Formats: sequence, structure tokens, C-alpha cells
Amino acid sequence: MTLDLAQFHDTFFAESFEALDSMENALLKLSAGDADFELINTIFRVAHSIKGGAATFGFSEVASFTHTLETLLDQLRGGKRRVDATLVDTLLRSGDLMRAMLLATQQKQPLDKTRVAALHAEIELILATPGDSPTTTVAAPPANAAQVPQAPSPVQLSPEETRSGWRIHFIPGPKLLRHGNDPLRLLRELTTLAPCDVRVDAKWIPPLSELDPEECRLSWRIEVNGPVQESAIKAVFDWVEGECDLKLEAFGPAAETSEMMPAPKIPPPVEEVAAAVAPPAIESAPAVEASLAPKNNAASTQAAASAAAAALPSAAAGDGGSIRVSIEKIDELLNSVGELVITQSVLSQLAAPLEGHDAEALRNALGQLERHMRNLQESVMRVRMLPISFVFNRFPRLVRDLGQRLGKKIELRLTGDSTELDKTVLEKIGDPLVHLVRNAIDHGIETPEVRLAAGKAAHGVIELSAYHKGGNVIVEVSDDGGGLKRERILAKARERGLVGADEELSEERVFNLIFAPGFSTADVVSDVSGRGVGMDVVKRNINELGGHVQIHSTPGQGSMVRIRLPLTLAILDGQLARVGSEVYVVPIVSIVETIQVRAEQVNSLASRAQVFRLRDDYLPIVRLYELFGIEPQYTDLLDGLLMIVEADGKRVGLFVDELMSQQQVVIKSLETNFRPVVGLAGATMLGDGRVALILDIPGVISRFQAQETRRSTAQQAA
Amino acid sequence: MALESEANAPATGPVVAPMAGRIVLGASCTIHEAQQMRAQLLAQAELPGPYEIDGSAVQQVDTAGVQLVVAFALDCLERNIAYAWKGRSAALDDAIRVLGVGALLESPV
Amino acid sequence: MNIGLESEPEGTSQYLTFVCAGEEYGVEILCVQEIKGWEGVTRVPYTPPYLLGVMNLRGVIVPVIDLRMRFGLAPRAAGGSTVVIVVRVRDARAEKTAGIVVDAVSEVYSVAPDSIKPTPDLGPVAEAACVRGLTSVDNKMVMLLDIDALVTSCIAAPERP
Repeated sequence: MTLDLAQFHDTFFAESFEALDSMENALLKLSAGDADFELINTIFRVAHSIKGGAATFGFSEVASFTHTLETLLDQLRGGKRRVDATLVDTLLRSGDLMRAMLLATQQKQPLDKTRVAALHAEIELILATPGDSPTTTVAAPPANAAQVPQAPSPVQLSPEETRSGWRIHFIPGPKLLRHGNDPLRLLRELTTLAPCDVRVDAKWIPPLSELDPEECRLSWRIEVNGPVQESAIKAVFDWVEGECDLKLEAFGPAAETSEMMPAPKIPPPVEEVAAAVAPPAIESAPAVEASLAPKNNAASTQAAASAAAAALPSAAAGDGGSIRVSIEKIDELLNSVGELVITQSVLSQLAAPLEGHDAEALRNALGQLERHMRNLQESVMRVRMLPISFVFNRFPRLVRDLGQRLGKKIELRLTGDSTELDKTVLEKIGDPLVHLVRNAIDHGIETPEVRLAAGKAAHGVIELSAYHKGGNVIVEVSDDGGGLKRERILAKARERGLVGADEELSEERVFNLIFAPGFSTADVVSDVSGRGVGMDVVKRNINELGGHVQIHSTPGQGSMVRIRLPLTLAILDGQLARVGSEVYVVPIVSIVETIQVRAEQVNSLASRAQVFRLRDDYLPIVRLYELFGIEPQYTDLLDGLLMIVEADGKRVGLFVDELMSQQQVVIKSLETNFRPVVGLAGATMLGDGRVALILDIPGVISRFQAQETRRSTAQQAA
Repeated sequence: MALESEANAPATGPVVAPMAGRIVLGASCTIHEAQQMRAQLLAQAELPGPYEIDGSAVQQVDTAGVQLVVAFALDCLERNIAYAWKGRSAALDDAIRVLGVGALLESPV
Repeated sequence: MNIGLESEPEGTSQYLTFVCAGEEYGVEILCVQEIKGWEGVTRVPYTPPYLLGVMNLRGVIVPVIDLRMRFGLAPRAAGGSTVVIVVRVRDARAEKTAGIVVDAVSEVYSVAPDSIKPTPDLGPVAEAACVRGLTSVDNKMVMLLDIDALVTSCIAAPERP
């Protein structure tokens, strides 16, 4: 039986992409001025482990390029070369290239050999030029919350302790050989660091007749005799971290530096464990694969904290282990839970009118069932939720590159990046956010000269923040740039016929005009944010996710785009309401209150429109039967009910015949086989199998406004 | 890579031609041949000893391959069967050295 | 059902034929997912009248099209004998499932490609883009529909205000 390594390719790619992200993160921090040894080390280890994996799988071009890169990084690591901006730039581009190469290899596409050769040559050139050793410009790593506080390092770039040697206890796990790793190779690598004394332990080898030839039962104790850095040793075992037990112990007297730093054992800060946004990080074709240190037959099964923890990708911050699960499995699970919700709802409805003592007990039990269902649902939903940091992580690089390109100094602030949203929403919110940030940089933030002249700081601030509020996720993109120019927008809108020449609009409505299709105030559609992707596409994308977007701005001071997204796409708390023989579902989160109308609360306006007085507010009355063309039971306001609903700060009263039950409904998309309809958020199946449409309140309000506008225009014409 | 008859068997398979006493390790003794190698070694163990292990033809070897030889040697030790090495290729020697199993594979006296 | 035992000419497809307002139409059997009795639909506002509404097909929302109305003919009240043919069609981006309401289902016929004649201009009823051609079986003229085009055009039809 031949061993097919191809099944492990997916994992290699997924982990390499994640590693490249953490490399990029580290490079960005380096360029921001923290020339931290740990950062350089992280970068080195990424290159090293990708090289190792690529070599194992026979991806020779990747391995070869990465090898050259590794040589350069080794120089940085050893303090033989100084980190400067050009170097960081080259390294960033190398990371991009590696990503492209891996992607091409994964998709079995040809590699861009010219690009590889060019960058390869560039690195060789750097290597050929002797680098200056860094002088005192390198500061010690500042004490990080998640790291053991380190004593101030000496001048050089190698604050790690160097002792006389290391004792390594290496116990391969059951899958190590099968995954294409070979202790022979690892041990050979160790000997390149320093002379080694190898002692093998064969006591766990069974009789040949019982031995699984693809499982390594040998383990080793190795003494590395030389002033080798711990990171160098760990780098050798990088690729097998999750598949073996590894214990490191330094021995011998310390080197000359009087201050000794303990070897960092804490896993790196969560932000460095940034995983790729792309689906490969979440879904993978091979079934569940544990990345926990395996249990060994050997007595002690301590996973070495330093070795194992460092590379674990955790979806949620700070927990111990994680497994990869295919997205289909999660969706199936969610579907099943959804069906359970419907059935539980039907049961409750059936039990409601029953009489008797047993009925009471039944209702109690069903009530408990409902509570359990909700918990189950929330838990399952949370499986699909991921922190928005997956998306936010793109931005430091983007802002840096774009700022440089446009000659603007930008400080990016990210808040609330641990806020979680549904995976599907997360995947689709990235592009709109990128567009908004590009816009802010391109059109919002002014050049340093302009800013200084205006009395502002030379560098502009862009802030991305995310938080939960009332069943929604709010994401805000704000900048302290020049703000929107109201007059210019109004003029453009008039020019395009979006607004009547004499029409007066509130400031808010003017600003939100920029979301109208075909609208662009940039005189030149810049390559940066233009390209036919306008704010209208941003708005559409967000609306398709069931969200809403608004923009606020103060001239001279800046703008803020606020996006509201649903926490989950799948399930909704709804109020069933009947209009004629049709039943609609109104999202409970949109309902303010429902009342029975009294004559004195209704005022008629000239154009036959009616408004309802709710305390001090006058709300328009929306007759759903009119809006939707249904035959109602009641047309007299006093007979039916008025549901006061709210969306985007607007309130209206929906006139319906009757309120029915409140229940959780599973949202089914209209778009799967049909298409979206403004005013509808989807559809659902009621207990009796009938389809009920779910209202989208903002859509309903805009339909109503359009209807009223047409009506008043028609009346004026008449 | 089935068992080949002794006469002019070229040394391609992991273990070639079980003859009473003579074990010839083939050119490639890696994890790819591991299952087969184990089967062949087991077949070899059915035959009476003492054994002669000829490793001079080994070109590719890895931990899996070495481990099998180690297991075989340990079995011999247990069953009190003697074996002796008749030649080891440079590759095999190097692997045995790096993995530190030299002592385990020394021909028992 | 005609299951021909003799070998059929190259390119022969099988069509499910049905009656709609006295005319016979055919759709490729490969597109037909199932045939259902009428179970009622939920009307969707802002859609053309020939889009009767949506129905629940084992947990999926599926639009239902009335072919009579689509062809501009007088509608017939849906009732016990009304039949819904559930078809699977392809549009530019994806596959969609839809139901079409017809008067009655006929038979499945094998249609050889050379027996398909082009449609003369039959006016709006034929909706030229949706009728692939005419063929004759059992002394009847059958209009073969391009069901992909028909359904996708119904779905994409602009809204009434």
C-alpha cells in the first residue's frame, strides 16, 4: 500500500495561509517601528515551516524560493542585518508571492515564474550586499500583556538565552509518519545546529507481527551540545508540533549576558494567531482533524505548552483546542435544529387550548422544552459565529499600502475585533468594508499639507469598530477627514435627476444619496475605489445580508458609516399577523407596540393619507392590504389593529386584521429559487405547512413612501 | 513488489528472496514499502535461523524502514535466534547512526 | 408511456407533454423533477399575475407559475384536478426549482431532433424565445418549450409598481 500524501495537502495549505497571515501581521508591526526579536523569529519560523512542508510534498519551487527567503531571515535573526523599511517591503511582497504560489499549487494552476524569478533575484541582491548589524536603534520588546515580562535586552537582536545546550525528549505520535514526517530528517537537522548525542528508546516496539509499520514506536532523548537558541530547536520541530510530545530543557551555565530572560513559554498573543479569512481556514475536505497533542502510550502525556500551543488556530480567543469541521455538517446541524424549532412550536400551539391537570403538566414540560431549544439553537448558531477580527485583519496592510500610494499618513484603529458574527455574514461583509475604508482614505482623509493647514494633525485616523446591540452587530467605519460636502452631493444628485431641482432634503437624506446607483462624486474615478464598484453596491451587499447602512458626516471633521447586520441569518422571533386570508410574519425586533386604534388618535391629512397620533408623535398609517393588494377583513381603522414598527429611525403604524401567535420561525430565502422582493425578508413554513412571508420593515416603509409619492403626484396632476 | 525467486532476483523490493538464513534488503526501504517489508520479514522469520542480513543494496531509507529492521532484530533477540550483518550501504549506515539504533542492531554474539 | 425498444436516432430526447388551454406543450423530461397535485400557494406581492405565488416543497420555497396566464390566456380556477409540474431549470448563475400549473399532464414521448420544426410566427402566445420548435406525435401538434428560458424570464420579470 503506498502512502498517499495528497490527503494532507489541504491541511498544509490551510496552515500555510494562516502562517502567512501571522507573518504579515508581524511584518506590519515591524514596519511600525517595534523591531522586536520575537516578531523576526515568528517570521523566520513561518518561512521555515512552509519550506519544510513544501519540501515534504515536493512543491519544489515554493521550497526553493522560501529557502532563499529563510536565509535572509536567518541573517535578521542572527543580528547580522538591520531591519529597515525597504527590507520590510521586500518581505511583505515575498509573503504575497508565497501566498500566490501556494494558491496556484493548490489550484493546480501554473506559477508566475517571472514574478518568482524577479523577487528571488531581488533577495539574492540583498543577500549579496553586506548588511549592517543593527545598532542601538533596536528597542527591547515592550512588555506585552500576554507575554512573560522580559528584562531589557542588550543591544543586539538576540535577547534569547543561550546556554550550553539542550536536552530534548522527542516522542512521535501515532500519526507522525503517516503525515509524511520523518524523525530521521528531523534528527539530521538537529545535528546541523550543533553536535548531538542521540539515545533511542525502543521499549515500545511490539513484536513484528503486531507492529503497525506506519506508526513510529521509537522515541528519542537528544542532547544538543552547543549554544543553540531555543527557537532554532523549535523551528526544527515546527511541522510536527501537533503530532508529537516534545520536551525541551536547557542545561549548562548562561552566556555572558547578565540578565537572563526565561524562554517565552506563553502562547503568542491571540492577535498573532490570525487565521486566513478565506474559507480554507474554516472548512476542509478531510474530516475532523484534531490538532491537540496526541495521547501516547507513554506514561507522561503532557503536551509541551511551548511547542504545541503556539501553532493552534483557535476560532475563539484563548481556548485550548480546536478542530476543523466541514461547513456542510454545520449547516445540516442548523437545519435540523431549525426543524426542531418548528415542531416544538407546533406542539406548544396544540397544547395551548387543552384542559385538565395533565394538560398543565404538558404545557410546563413544553415550556421547558422551548427553553432547552433556545439554548441548543444559540449554541449551534455560535458554532457558525466567528470574530470579526478575521475581516479586520486585512486592514492594517491595506491601509498601509494605500496610504503610501496616495501620500497620506493614516493611523488605523480597530475596536471590538472579538465581536462575533455569523460566518456567512462575515464572508460577505469584507468587500463592502474594504470599499468603505478605501473611500475614506481616498476621498475622506486629506493630504498632510491640507490637514496641517486646517489645524489638524498631519496623520488621519480611520477607525473600524464592531459591537453588539439589541440583536444586531453594528460595524462602524469612521474617519476624521474632510467630511461629505453636502452642496456638492446635492448638486450631483440634481444633475442626475435623482432629486428634483426644488426639492429640499434633510442633511441625513442628502448624505445617504451617495448610496444611490450610479452616483460618484469623485471627479476622476480613481483606480483605488472606482472600478465600477460604487457605494450603491456596498449598500446592496449589506441589504442582501439583511443589514442596513447609513452615513453621517460633519464637514471639515469627518464621516462615519454605520452598518447594522443581523446576528444570525437563520432564525427569527416573529409576530404572526393576519391581513385578509394572508398571514405575515413581522420581526419582533422591529415592533414597538401594538394597539387598538381610537377615533381621536387618527388625523386625516389633505391627501387622504392618515396619520396616527402616538403620544407626541404623528406616525403614518400603512394599510398593508392596500400595499400588497389583498382583500382585507377590515378596512375601518377602528376594527383592526395597528402595529407600531420601527426601522432606520422611522416609525409607522401597520394596519392589520388580527394578531396571531408569536413564534420563532426559520427564515427561508426567497432568492434560492425566486428573487429578492423589497419589503420581504424571506419566507417561512408555519406549523400547518403553509408558507408565510416575512416582512422587511425598512422595505415596507420605502414601498409605502413610494406609493404615497405616486399618489400625491397623481393627485396634483389631476 | 512480490516475493521473487532467489535465483536472479534483482534487489528492487524491500526484502528479497527469503532463503533459509539470508535476508537481502532492497534498494528502497521506506514507509512506502513498509507494509510489504513487514510481511516479507515476517515470512522470513518463519524460516529457521541463523540469519544473515545484507543491507548493502539499500539506497532510500527512512525511520519506518529502520524501525522494521529494529523490530525484526528485537524479535530475533527474544527468540534467541542469531543474526549477522553482511554489509550495509552508506545510506543505511547513516540512517542507523542518526537514529541512534546502532547498538540495537549489533549482531548479537 | 412510450418506451421504445428499437434503437432511437442520435440526439433523441424525451419530452413530457401536457395540455394547457386546449394546446399541447412539451418539456424535456430531464428537467422534470416531479408532478404534484395542487396544494395552494402563498401570493407574493409585487409579482406579475401569472406568478401565482410560492409553495413549500419539502422545506424549500418554490415559485409557482400559471402557464395559461403567462401565455396571455384566460386563467382557470385552480382545483382538484390542477396539476403542478415541478421543473429544475438553469439560469445564468444557478439552478432553480419552480412549479408550473397546467390543465393536465399527457404522456412522455421520444422526439427525434429531425422531427422538430421551427415555429412559424404564432404571435405573443408562443413567446418565441420559449418555444423551441414544433413536433407532431400521435397526430397532435406539440409545442416544445425551452423551459429554462420560460421560467427564468418569469422570475426576472420586472415588478408592477
